[in-house]
Amino acid sequence: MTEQQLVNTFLQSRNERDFHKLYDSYKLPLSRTAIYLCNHDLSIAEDCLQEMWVVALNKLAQFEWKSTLKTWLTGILINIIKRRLPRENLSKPLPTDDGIIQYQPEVLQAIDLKNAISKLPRGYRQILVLHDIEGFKHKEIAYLLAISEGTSKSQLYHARRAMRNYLRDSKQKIYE
Amino acid sequence: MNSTDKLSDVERKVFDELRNESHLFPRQKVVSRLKQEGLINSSKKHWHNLAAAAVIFFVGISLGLLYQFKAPAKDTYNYMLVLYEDQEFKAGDPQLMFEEYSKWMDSVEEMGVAITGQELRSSSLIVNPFGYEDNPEITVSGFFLLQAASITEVKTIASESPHLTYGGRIEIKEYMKR
Repeated sequence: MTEQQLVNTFLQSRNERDFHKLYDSYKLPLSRTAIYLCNHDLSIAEDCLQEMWVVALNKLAQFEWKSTLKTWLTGILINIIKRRLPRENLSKPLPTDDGIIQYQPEVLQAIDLKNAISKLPRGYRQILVLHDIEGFKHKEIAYLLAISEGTSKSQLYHARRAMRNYLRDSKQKIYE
Repeated sequence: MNSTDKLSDVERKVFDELRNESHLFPRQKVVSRLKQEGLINSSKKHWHNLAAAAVIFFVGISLGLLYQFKAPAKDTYNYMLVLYEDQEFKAGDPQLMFEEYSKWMDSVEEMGVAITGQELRSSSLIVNPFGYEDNPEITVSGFFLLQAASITEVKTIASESPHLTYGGRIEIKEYMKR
């Protein structure tokens, strides 16, 4: 069943059974995005997801299919998370590249990468999760975050470097 | 920008691992909230109506056929759902889980499908040609037996099982009849 068929079937019946099909099609990527963007606070992530479905079902009949449904749902989720999480000081300078050759380990554990991502400033974390974990293209990220494609590329560049810097620093701390 | 702008093979592999990780929240909480908001209707009424219609229909024709056909025994199950758990399975509150599984079994019975099942203890011991393995990564945590009309029906039933919402996996097996 295509995305549109799933949505149309649900809109016609509005029943629980058809909602389950819709929900199950997107539960994995949306849960993952919520958890990363809420920095592994499962309680906030679950609330935000719930809120996302309330907003989405209220607007679903007006959805114009200018993006995929997953992108649209992710956009709603990002906005809800932004409102929900305490504001970061956006004027605070982001960590800059220190000029050292980028650290690229030969062995990397998922847990180390997770830790590094969780320590990134929200903007960097967001772009890394959307691009490198969820596989969104820069065009889609630009739509999701209301930025230009160029900004998306540049933020990803800085986010990856910041991630590697955190990985390098944490490795150094182990050996100190 | 230099070559380090791109992910290395090692980084890409670990990002892939993260992409395959899953944490699932119980679907029922979302459903309850959406019902409260009036955004979805319960499908229970729908199934009650269908079940009632089916009962009237079958009672009618059964009266005529009662002595000609032997009704299938309740225990002639033809499919099995094997429930697996691995490290991705995140158990919830036991009472809530019990209620969810019971509710799911009720809904299966409302569809006219006979169902029975058995929960299994989490401890597991695998016997292999070289000895024993007492901490397997994937274990069978229970099973359900179904008397269903088709594999399509079984797939629908399995896909609605609360076991999936906790990150478990279900294998559908059909009985072999000789």
